[in-house]
Amino acid sequence: MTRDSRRFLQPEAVARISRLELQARNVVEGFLSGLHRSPYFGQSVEFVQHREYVAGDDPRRIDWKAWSKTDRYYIKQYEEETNLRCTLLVDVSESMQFGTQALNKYEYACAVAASLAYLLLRQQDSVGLTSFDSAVRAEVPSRSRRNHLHAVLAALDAQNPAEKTDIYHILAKVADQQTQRGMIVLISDMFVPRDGLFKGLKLLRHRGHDVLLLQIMDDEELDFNYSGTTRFEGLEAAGELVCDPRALREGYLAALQDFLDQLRRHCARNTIDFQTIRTSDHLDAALAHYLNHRIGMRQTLRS
Amino acid sequence: MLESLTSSLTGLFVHPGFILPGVALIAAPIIIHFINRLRFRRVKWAAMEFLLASQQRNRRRLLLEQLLLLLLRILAVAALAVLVARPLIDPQRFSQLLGQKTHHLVLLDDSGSMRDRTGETAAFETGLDVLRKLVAEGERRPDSQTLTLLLLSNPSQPIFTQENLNRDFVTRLEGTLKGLRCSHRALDLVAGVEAARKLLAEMTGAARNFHLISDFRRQDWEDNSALPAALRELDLDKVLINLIQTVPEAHPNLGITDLTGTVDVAAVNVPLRLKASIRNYGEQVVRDVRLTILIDGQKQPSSESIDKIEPGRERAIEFDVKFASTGPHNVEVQLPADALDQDNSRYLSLQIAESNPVLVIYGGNDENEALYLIDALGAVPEKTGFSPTRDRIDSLRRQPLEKFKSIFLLNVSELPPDAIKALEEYVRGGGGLAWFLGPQVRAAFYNDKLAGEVPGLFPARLGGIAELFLDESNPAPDFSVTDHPVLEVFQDDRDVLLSYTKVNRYFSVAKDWTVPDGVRVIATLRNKAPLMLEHRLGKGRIITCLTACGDLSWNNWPRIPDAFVPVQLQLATYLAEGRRTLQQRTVGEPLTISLAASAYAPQVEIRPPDGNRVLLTAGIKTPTDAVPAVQTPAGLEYEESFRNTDQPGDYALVLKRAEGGEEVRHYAYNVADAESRLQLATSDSIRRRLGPEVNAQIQEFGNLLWVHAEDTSHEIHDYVLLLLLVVLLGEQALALRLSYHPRPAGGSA
Repeated sequence: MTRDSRRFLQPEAVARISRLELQARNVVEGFLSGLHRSPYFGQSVEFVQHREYVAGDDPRRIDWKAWSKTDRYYIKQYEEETNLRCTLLVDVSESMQFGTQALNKYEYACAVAASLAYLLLRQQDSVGLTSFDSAVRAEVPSRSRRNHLHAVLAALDAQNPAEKTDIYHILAKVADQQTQRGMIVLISDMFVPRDGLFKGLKLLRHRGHDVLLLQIMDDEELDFNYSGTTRFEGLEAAGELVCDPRALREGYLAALQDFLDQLRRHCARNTIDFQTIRTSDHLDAALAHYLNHRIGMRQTLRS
Repeated sequence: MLESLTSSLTGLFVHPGFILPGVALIAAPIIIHFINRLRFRRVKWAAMEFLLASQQRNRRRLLLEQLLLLLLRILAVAALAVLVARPLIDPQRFSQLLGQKTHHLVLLDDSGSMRDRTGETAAFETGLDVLRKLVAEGERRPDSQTLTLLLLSNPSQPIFTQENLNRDFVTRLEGTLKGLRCSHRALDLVAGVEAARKLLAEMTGAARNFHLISDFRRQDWEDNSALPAALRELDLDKVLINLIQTVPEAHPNLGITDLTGTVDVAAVNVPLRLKASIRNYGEQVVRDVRLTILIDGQKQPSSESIDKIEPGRERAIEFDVKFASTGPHNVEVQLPADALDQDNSRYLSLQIAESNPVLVIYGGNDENEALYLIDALGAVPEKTGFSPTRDRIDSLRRQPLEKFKSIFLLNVSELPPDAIKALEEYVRGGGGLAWFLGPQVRAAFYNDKLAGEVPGLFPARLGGIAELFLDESNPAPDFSVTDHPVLEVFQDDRDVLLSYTKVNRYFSVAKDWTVPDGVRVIATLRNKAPLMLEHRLGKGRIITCLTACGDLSWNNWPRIPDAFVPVQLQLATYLAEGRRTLQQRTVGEPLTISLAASAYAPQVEIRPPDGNRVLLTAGIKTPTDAVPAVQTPAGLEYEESFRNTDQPGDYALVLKRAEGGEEVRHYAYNVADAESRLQLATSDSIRRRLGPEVNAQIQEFGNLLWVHAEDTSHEIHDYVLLLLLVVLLGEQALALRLSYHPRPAGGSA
């Protein structure tokens, strides 16, 4: 997004983006500070080269040996830090507007996307974002500049979300656009036609992309603890139903489990990482999952 | 409409008024269900796909569960309403819904004792009232019950058989009951119960009720084991037994048990001694019992009385009646009215002759030897009624002997064979014969022709003429007597007569002769030799005196008229009674008419006491194996039976003679004394006789509650309460299963 585009952002959007950025920062920094004590950091990460220290880099990464030799500050760069092109596909359709927790699915998805973008950009990977509902809503090409975050966050603004269209179209478009292999992170509730989804994911895998599925679901969607006569009005024109939810709970959960199992099976078959995240989970979970995936990826590349 | 609905529920609930509001309340769960369906919260939902999938998969199950839950709630409300209304279950009504009917078989006792009156109402009328009420109660549920009515007097022919109780029947019943009369007869309850049992065995229905409407007399229940046994059989057949008492208490009762006399020798203007026996059937002494006498329906100016009769005892009154004309007459004796009238009258029908002819045959040469006897019998015919005729042996062959009331043979040496035959026929036919011996008697002839191994005309084998010598040491009379009507005059305290009466000569019996069966010694000489003997031949009586009559050398009897005359009169009377024209007939016995076809026309007229004349035509009597054809001298006989003899009184039979003219015969019918004993069997004693295992209801007099409360419904609220509990538990369990209960706070999904 250019400076001009940002200028046309509504004040609420600006505020929202700022909050998102702040949130992402807090999450990531917090996560990383915790990660500092984690076994992931500094282990099994191969040194590739030095880079001159710039303001903002983590002082812990300063190579003091190099300083002692050169009297200049250099940080170490590791293999995973180099040239990862990540595209975030964020579902901003109407179904993502559902939520019973502090954050609805959309807000959670945005927070996850923002956090990932922040992390990626902080690690000087390039990140792009495509938001979609019935069609592509916003597209931000992959960049690795730190100030690219704002553009990414701005693209997450979804107004008047519409029902989804065939996601295959979206994924195919992304596959066509991403000529270079990279990582595709699909952040959605996956309430899309299965065939289109699987076909699209397969296409992305076929094109060599590394795909990570983060399914965002609300606790109630996962637990369905409603009681009392309720009229469920489907988002995205999915119909409506007056029922006693307790009577349908068992069947609902079974149907949902079938759906999740189907997703899991397909992802496993196609080496797609799949994770279901509750909106009540801390955002760290998403980041942890992403990092686990990155480590796995690197190990695959090395072998 | 609401009222008729509520009244139709009356038999099903104690408080039927709660049912309609209860039915309205059943709508409450349905209304609440629909209200809940309208009251819902709205949730915008993303994962509709799965919800719809669940709903699709479980639609039928959900619907069934919902319906079941609704049904349980409706049932709970209904059960509560029913519980408040207090339901009744009536197996009979249930069976009636299945088309089965309740059968009532009523056995109405119409024996004579049911004429026992309490106030102005006889027990029989009380029984009819009970029957009316039973029918009226059954008519309230038309065509759900049937009635069979038996009278004890004719249990094999029901008056009504399985008639539906409805309004139409009530009308017909009333017409029939108006024509019913209680009989005077003694009837067998066992036969009635057996007949009822046979009829009940053919009835299939919801319930079979046997109602015995009777007066429950002690002799029927306590002295008779067959009746409780018959009822026990009914109980085993699963028939509900209901015994209904029609008498409140045992009433005192006097009854005339007998009216008899020497009617066979009744003659015009001759006083006839009659004896009426009266028994006190009550528990208290009865004093100053007055007896009214009616001759031919005319009350006599004087009445007889007994000063007192102890309870359970019988006393007799003797009185004389006189008839001014020959022909049939009837005598009635009456007691004052009491609870049971039918035994307060007794009837006697008799034929009054001009006189009673007696034939005196003397065998000696002196015709005066018969004079003493002739004088004794006929000196005052207006007092004695006898008209004795003196004749020789030949007359036995020359004239029909049937006209004589009795025949005396005095000092007869021998009898020609045809005379013997005529005498035998006469005696066998009921005639009476008296033997007096004397010097002319040839013992050998008597032993050979008249006496035998089996006594014929003469009872003993004779020895010879013996003398009874005076015994200074033995001051006893020359002879002693037994308790015999002929010798009644000697049985009073007047031993002086015995002491005056002397016997000098007599015929001894053969030394080897012993008293055979059928022969009775009624007087014995001082020396133990028999003096007078009695035996029977056919229907007739024979008295044999082994001394003479009228020969003063043999005995001095004629010289003691106080002894001689009464003995001869009693003898003549006793012998005449062999014909037994006095027939004691009991009401209900058929009047059998047998007429020689040659002498009478078959048309007969019967005049019963109620005045309704009955004309009958007798049929030819057909011979059977048991009854061979009766051959009268002229040939065939007419025979007819008249059975309508329930009414006590005089029955006149008017016959038409073949040669013209009428002949009237009279028969007196009286009640049996069995129905006069009015002591009641108590309910406790009846139960004891029936036994503990028999489930019989005993209804005391006046208790008619059972008629109305004869429904067998009983409350079932325990079952309804149990049902309500089960329904509520089921509803809660189903609601929990369907997760209609709110989760406790903090509970997991």
